[in-house]
Amino acid sequence: MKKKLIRISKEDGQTVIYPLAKEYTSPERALLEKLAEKTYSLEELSESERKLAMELKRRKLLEIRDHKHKKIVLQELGEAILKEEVEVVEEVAALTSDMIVSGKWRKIQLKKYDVTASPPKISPAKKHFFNEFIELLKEILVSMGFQEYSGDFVETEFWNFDVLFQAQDHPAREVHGCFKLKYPSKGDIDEILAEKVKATHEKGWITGSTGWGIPWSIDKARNLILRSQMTVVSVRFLYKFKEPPVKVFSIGRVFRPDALDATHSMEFHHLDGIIMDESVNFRSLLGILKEFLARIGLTQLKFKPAYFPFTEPSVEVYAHHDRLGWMEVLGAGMFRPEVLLPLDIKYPVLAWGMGVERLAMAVLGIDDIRKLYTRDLSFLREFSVPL
Amino acid sequence: MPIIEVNLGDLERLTGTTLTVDKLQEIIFSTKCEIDSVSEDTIFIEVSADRPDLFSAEGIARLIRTLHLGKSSIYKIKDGETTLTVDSSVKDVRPFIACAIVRDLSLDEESFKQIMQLQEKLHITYCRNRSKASIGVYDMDTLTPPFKYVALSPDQISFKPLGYSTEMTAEEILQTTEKGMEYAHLLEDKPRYPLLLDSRNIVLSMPPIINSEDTKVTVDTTDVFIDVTGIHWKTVNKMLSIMAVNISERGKGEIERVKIILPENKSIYTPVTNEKAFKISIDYIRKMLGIDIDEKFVEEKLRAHGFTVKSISENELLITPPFYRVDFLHPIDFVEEVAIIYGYNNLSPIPPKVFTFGSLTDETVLSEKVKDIMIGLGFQEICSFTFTNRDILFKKTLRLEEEVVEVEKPISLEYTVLRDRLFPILLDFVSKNAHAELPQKIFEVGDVVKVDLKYETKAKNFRHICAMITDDTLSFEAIQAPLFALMKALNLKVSLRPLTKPYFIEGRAAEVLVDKEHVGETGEVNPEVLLNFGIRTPVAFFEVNLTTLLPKVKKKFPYIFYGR
Repeated sequence: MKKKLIRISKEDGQTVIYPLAKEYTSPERALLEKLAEKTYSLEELSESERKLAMELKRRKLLEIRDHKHKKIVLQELGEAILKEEVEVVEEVAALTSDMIVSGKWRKIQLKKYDVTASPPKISPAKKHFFNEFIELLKEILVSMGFQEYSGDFVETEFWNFDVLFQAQDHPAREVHGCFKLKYPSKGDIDEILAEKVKATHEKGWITGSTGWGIPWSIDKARNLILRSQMTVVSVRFLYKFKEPPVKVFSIGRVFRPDALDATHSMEFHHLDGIIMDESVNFRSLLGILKEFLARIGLTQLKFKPAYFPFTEPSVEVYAHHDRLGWMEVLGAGMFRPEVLLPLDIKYPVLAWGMGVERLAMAVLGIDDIRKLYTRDLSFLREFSVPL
Repeated sequence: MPIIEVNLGDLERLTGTTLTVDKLQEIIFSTKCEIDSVSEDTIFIEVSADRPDLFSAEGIARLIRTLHLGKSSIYKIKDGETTLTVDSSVKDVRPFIACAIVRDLSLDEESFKQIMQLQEKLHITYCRNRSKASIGVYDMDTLTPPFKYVALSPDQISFKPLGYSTEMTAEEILQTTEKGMEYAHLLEDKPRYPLLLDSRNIVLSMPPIINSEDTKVTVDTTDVFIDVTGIHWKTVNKMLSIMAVNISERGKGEIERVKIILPENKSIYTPVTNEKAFKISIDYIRKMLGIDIDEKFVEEKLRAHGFTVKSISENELLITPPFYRVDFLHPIDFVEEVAIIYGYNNLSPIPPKVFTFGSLTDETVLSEKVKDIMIGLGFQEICSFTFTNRDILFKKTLRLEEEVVEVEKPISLEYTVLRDRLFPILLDFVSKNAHAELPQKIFEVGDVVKVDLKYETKAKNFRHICAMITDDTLSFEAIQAPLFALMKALNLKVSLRPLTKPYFIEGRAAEVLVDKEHVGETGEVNPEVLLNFGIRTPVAFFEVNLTTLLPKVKKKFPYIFYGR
């Protein structure tokens, strides 16, 4: 659009610009100034201003907002009510302390919510589901009159194997492997007890056993390892407290050199329980196992002969799980005389041990052992415990 | 536990009965063995480590015959004419030898495989990878007795090793053959190597390395010569007994003893089968099992299972186990044998009537209380491995290296040492949750292990709690407030004292004191450490030793602790 505001001419080969008007305000600027003072509706603007407004909107200099008008028209009923006396009531969304104290809440109407709508998501802080399962096991055992005991992760081979009559050079020692320590590497041993254990391993000592018939080395027994089962905690208890009745359990971490995958871990939990009393026998062992398993919901059981170097007779218990079918849940037995006599224990001892993770996975419906040690916070926040 | 492979048809042949996988499953379940898997007719059985006599189909068949069919297995053992002379030169290298002959065998590929399997499984387990004992089986028709067992200097030895068509010297065998290389260490530094020869100086084997090619057993072999050499007499004799008895199942069940002439001019017939007899009272069996079992039942059943049983007085039996069993050390082992024969599932469980008071340890009581409070404070509990590595514990946290419990053969470089603190483990956790919603408030109550040479096992567990927060912005108060809230809930008075540590921001860290005693630390984490872990948001934590806190809490809450 030519506005005749300047003239351009060529003089001596140069382009020269001359102004033609002294003062000029563009219509765009005028409109912007007008709108800066007050908001107008499109209808209130002239035809040309409307065109300019659209142009300015395109240049993102102004904004056109839709403004809705709703007409409220009184119906007949309303008119009728109006003829009577009415109070005007204010509708309010949030109830405040002021309103309650000042009594204003009586004069206002609290807005009604759509109570069926979903709330925003929040995650409660929770106990870890696996620890919760372990607590459940502890609760069950305490309710059955068992006393909890604990021990350290680092053990001597002596307590972990030799006291439990696992021969130093025998396949029995390899029923499962263990982690030997690089540092520290040698522990201390009670020499008097070691003498008895040595005699028992080599020739049976006074136990009535033939022993293993192989030389026993105290140096090997001093090797430090990470405990590979929790029975070691139970026998340490028995060595301290030899008077019946004893009912003791321990739940703790044990370590075996298995590579980490869905069903194996180099570190997992074992539960170990023992009962020492003059009155107990193999059938009462089956009885206590039956009661314990029933309390975690496993009632259909099968007993199978088994071999553990430190118990005789030994038994493995299979339980029927709704989803997983028959599964091996625990190993048990009566401590061998070769275990009891060196420790100076004069009464029969029932013992059982089981892996906690496998049972937890069955109960919690988890298929990968690594999920029990997850590093995924969102999973922990969202997992609900079926306990 | 060894897993052996057997064939269903072969088991049917050995037991003289028809079997199905289900039937076998049922029988095997009532023993210490277990069916591992089934692939058509091949059955994989996990065999109990204390029953080497079951390491092949013949042993499993014997078990089925007695347990399922009630038939006992009787073997004839007689002294034979064959002799073997032991030269005194073997004394320093591999002193013991026992031999036997089993005749009139009818072998096929399956039975041949079973003999090899038995030999291999025994080698791995009871023979301690051939170091304690090693077994050889030869075709008797290729041999001319009498035999001799000598030790010769390696340069005097030359024969065709099994699987090779040319003669080799002892050194060549150790350096080039597969078995030679695998077991050479067993003869390391020995000036003379053991050698088994027949009367024509034909080499049978160079124990414990390899047999000779010319004396090997084939499916056409009818008579076998078995030798076991080793360094432990009981093992040598037992391995021979098991080999001989199981191989004899493929013939007439007859074992011919070999006369071993020892250097001291003494001689013995092997296998030696005079097992130790045990005196067992029926009352002992009754007391241990809790059943009123009949003496006749025990006698009859044990006899059927190959035991020799003599009644020596009312209520007392003299029992000798079969010569091929290794699992009888004590009368209690016979109690278990009776229980297995009786059937574990015929022993009805009875609840023990032992009255005791149940209790939790003090550590458990305190841990659970602390956990409850932390959850109330909005912290999510996590559960981590005790195993970690020096990179996480020290390098990333800028901590000075300390002595920690370290294993000799870790399963991976990620898990080499046990944690001595919790906070590096929690930082590692936070580093893996960059995308989880903020703020993140986590805690762990767990054991750390500290090396301390004054303890019996040179290391001790301590129960710790570590709570950690991360958010877009943080203040020292964000962690100080929950720490104080926790201590207040435990009825303890806590105070802080400025602390300088490389993993904390200078001026934003403190020692946690209760009754003026150091119980832990708290502070904002040094951004250098955060970057080492790849964390982009500020982090603050407190870590408190609950083991040191325990006696202080106990004083305040004496009634909730009832452990021994």
